[in-house]
Amino acid sequence: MIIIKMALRNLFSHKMKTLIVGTVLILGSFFAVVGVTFVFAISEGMKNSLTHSITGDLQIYSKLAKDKFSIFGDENGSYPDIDYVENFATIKNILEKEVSNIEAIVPMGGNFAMVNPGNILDKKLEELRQCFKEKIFDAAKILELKEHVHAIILDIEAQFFNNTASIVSVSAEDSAKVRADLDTARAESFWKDFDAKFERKIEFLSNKIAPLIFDDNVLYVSYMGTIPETFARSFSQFEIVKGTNIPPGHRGMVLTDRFYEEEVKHRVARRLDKIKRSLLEDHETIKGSKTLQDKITSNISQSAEVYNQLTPKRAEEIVVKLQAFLSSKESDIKKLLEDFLKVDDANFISRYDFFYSEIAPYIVLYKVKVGEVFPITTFSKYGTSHSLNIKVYGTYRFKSFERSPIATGFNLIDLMSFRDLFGLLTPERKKENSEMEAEMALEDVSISDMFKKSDSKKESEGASLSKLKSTVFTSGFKEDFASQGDKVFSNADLENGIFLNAAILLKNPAKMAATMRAIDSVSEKEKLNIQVIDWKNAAGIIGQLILFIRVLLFSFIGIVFGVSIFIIMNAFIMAMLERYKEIGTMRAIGAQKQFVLSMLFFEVLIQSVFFACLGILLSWLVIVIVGGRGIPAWNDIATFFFSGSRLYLFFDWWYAAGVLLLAVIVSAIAGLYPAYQATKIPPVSALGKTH
Amino acid sequence: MNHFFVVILFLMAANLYALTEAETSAIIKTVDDLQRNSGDYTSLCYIKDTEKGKEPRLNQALVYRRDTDNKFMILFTKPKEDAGKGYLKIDKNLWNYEPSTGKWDRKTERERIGGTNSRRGDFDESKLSEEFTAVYDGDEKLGDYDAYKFTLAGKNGVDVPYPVLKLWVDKASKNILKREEYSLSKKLMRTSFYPKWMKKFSPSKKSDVWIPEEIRIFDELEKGNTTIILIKEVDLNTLPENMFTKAWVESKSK
Repeated sequence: MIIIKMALRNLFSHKMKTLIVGTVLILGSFFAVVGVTFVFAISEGMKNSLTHSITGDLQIYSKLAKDKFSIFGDENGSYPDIDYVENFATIKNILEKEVSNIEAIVPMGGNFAMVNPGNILDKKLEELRQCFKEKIFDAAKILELKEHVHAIILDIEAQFFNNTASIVSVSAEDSAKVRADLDTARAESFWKDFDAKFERKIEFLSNKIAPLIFDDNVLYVSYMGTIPETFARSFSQFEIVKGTNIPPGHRGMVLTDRFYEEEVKHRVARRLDKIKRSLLEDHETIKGSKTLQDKITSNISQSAEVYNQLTPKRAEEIVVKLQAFLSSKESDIKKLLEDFLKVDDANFISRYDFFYSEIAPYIVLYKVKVGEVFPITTFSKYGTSHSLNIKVYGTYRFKSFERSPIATGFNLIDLMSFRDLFGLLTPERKKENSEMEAEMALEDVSISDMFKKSDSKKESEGASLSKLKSTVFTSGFKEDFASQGDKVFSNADLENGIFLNAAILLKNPAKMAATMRAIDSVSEKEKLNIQVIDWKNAAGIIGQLILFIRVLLFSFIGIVFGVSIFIIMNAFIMAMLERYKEIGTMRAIGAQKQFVLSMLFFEVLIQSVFFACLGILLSWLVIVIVGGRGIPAWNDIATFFFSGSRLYLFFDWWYAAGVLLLAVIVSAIAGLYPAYQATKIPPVSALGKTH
Repeated sequence: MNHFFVVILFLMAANLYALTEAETSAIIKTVDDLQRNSGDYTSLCYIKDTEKGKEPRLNQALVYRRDTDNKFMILFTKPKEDAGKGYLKIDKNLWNYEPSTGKWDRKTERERIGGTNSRRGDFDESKLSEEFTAVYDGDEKLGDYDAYKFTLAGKNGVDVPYPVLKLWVDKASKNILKREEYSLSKKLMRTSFYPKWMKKFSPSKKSDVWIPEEIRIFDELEKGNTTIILIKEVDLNTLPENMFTKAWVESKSK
């Protein structure tokens, strides 16, 4: 008891030392508790974002995979080459039977597709061609389309020579040809007999005029093949935003809502949306934001993308409305639109509303609309291209992080379409390959043998060619397409086929490691040829971010407490020097080394516990007050790490206890050397030195 | 001193046998002329595309050309899943048709035909003298053949898949034996060998037309990937007037 009393007395009598050591311990404990709480909250947020949206707790894929699996793609952004697993139903049935902790298995497979809607003239010419070809002689519709095409052509010359020709070099000869073609297309005589010679006229416009419009409308769609209803049921973050999910057994797509709004939408409209969001949600101002001003400049320079999409009749109506809205006498729609798109903080909201109520209904607001069928083309890993017409049933989001770009890439497609686009060699295709190989009758020659002279030069014959030509001229390939219809697939159809990877959701995620071992063992026993990884590895570099953040945090804590050791040690040495006489006297009147050591130990212990507790108390206050309200996500990416728009922190007493123990250990280490030195103070030399 | 004169004499002799600019252009023009048909053309082609370590993929296609109008069309006939797919070239536009979607897409000269490592130019008539400027590099022997070697650079404003070529032309027949294609940065992209040629009498040209019967293409970026184009049969008779239109291609699969 006397030792504790003396230790307390010493703490009060050496206030400067106590203050320095106390401050270090308070700050160290505070940052350690808050840091650990913050990092573990992010870690949980990410885990929640990933496991409840796309990775599941585990992922399985083929053991023959060439690349390391990452659901977010490799460093080039493309889906890794992970081979494929032959039959989903077999794998699912065996795993569900043998591994009791499995809640659900969701088949998957990723790739990307291209959608090339062409430029506005391509689109309108195709509509016109369809009207004539399908013999839908809707005179009013044809007239409207012709007028629209004519209006676009009238605008092309300025666009081509001002914009396109400044990007790609155009020779004087080509410029003259362009002008001549435009003259032909604008001439009254060209339009006079348009209906009678529509095929030739449309081909002229498609081949000579449409390429003059700079076309950057290609849409790249990353997609994930799955069974949509299983996906929606298994991932709690999944939520339909527009339209519906793909009906069971149907072919189709659901796009991520962010992709739909930020990639598929008309670029002028989406810039207006972003400006609105910045003004209303992020409280920015156009005057104060260079980014917003750049968006406005881009909208003005691309106003042609609005007026080119308006039919002449609509354009006339909008001119009248814009004149009234802007109080302008200008009659040129281009100038009116440019003026309209010059928004500022004061007029933005009214112009935004006008755009959506009066202009947007008459332009192609989305390259692909919910409910529409659109053609997609993919390139398989075998190099072949495959195309399909696919219906967009709706859009979806992952509830808590819908604004995060990380979630944009998972547009969902039904598994049957995915398999068709994957381009696997079917047995039928392999048979056809063998037949063609036999017909080719190629000699297997090396490069060195290729140029040996022989009498192989011959006149070709023509039996097969004339037969094939005759088939093509008479019937073509209509039979091959006759069987393709909108078939509804059964669950067995969907499950009895290939998949690339599958997400496994566990009943008890805490038993993840044991479940992985069980899956490996079943795979080995049943020769399933699959491998299993956890969600962190499946998320690739994003999953490894957690580890990186933790390493950073612990390094930071290590540095803080490492520096603390030196500061505390220094403070103790100074204090010991001040107490040289006192300790010497104590030793002279009979205090043993053990007594001095104990006294100093208690001094360190009391000090470290007290101040570390103060630091922990402070961190508790901050976590309860700030963390309870939630730290707002500062950008769209942060919503993914926070698993929502705010990160909520929860005080964990175990973290606090850990930090307290660490503070005591750090203090003890720091006090060790000064205490050891103090025990070495000899009573006589101490007295001698003083007197 | 004697050695010096020997070297000078050797250089003079070598220069004596070097082709002049005019001779080089004339040979390249002959290469084109031998293949020029000046009328309609139909061929039955096979394309075998092999990626390293994977099963080969084969296609059968009909290639139609109307050389006088610079029109060109490839219509895939086999396998079944590709039948009806096609490419149609009108002027500078190369269109791709997908019968499964009914959609036409405008493509560039760099388009990989049917996803293989072949290009539109591999099937079309030779236009080397129109598209490139040639420089004589020397003579080389390729197997049993004596060949001229040329470097060709693409002319300004001409859209070609590869801007630089190296050509080995058989001295006797003036047919191409080997062709190397380079990117703008002089990186070798493809090497093609032309080991077999066939001739066919052209009614429109009123003389023989030489056609590469077999082209073996080696991908120099993805080593081990090869493409073989086999022109099995050729017909140089006149084709129907309305063939080179989108409507005609569509009508074959709808």
